[in-house]
Amino acid sequence: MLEVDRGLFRYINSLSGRNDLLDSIFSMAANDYLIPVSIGLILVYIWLTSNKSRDSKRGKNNVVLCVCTMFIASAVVFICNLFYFRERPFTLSEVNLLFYMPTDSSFPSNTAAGLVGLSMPILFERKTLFALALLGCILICFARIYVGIHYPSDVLAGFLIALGSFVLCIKLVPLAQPLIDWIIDLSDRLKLT
Amino acid sequence: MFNFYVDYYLACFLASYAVIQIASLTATHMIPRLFQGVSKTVFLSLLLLIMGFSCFFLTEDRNINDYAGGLDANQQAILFSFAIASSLWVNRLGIIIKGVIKN
Repeated sequence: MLEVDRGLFRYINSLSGRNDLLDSIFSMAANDYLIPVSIGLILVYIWLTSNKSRDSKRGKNNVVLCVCTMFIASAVVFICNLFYFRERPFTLSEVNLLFYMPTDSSFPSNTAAGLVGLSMPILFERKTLFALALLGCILICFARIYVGIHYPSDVLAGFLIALGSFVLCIKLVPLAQPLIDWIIDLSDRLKLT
Repeated sequence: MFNFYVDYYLACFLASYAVIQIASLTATHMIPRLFQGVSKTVFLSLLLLIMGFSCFFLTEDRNINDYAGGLDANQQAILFSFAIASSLWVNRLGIIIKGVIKN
């Protein structure tokens, strides 16, 4: 299994360094800011236009759900990292490194878990925006393998953690509804709508 | 341009201001916007989005670790939230100032 993972990593990473344009695009996509901010802006759009929904609070509820899912997914990654540390691919073998050298654990991918977690609940709101956000997640995850800082299994684990967090979050929503309502009311009072 | 924190905040501020303008076109409820015309609003939004992202990404190398001057996830979340809140407030302020000038 590990050999398949490493083989797949070597294949994807070997695609880098051949074309300057592709390298620039994937370095940009792997960036810590571009895709996270873009997904954040999608959530802002949903938040602002949520009155368009049948239930005026539904959109805002879903945005809060997105943030909660991301927090839970990040917490799970944090807990995993307390018990298991996996070296980054560039420390173990010759790779085409097009990115800075992160020092935290490679497995599971925090970026994949956080961003997929942030994107999953958009599915309840607008399918097109969900597709756009998911495309962003897939792009950043692929780019992070391409630039040499993650194995494919890191990213896959991040996806699975995000899915699990999403399911957990849906189960917890009824319990947390008073808190979510309070957050939405507070945002109304602060004129953030 | 300035320092990493300010650059990130400005990029998020401009981009979220653009999103507010776009949302004002599609939302069924009233979201105040700077220009009444659809084409002017779309143009302003695109301009702000391009300006925000290009000022951040094209001025310096942004692929740097958080301990080497970049932002960690918490700092990003705080600055991003603050940029959105301030762009919403600035949008409201702009509408008020525009109303005062008109009158």
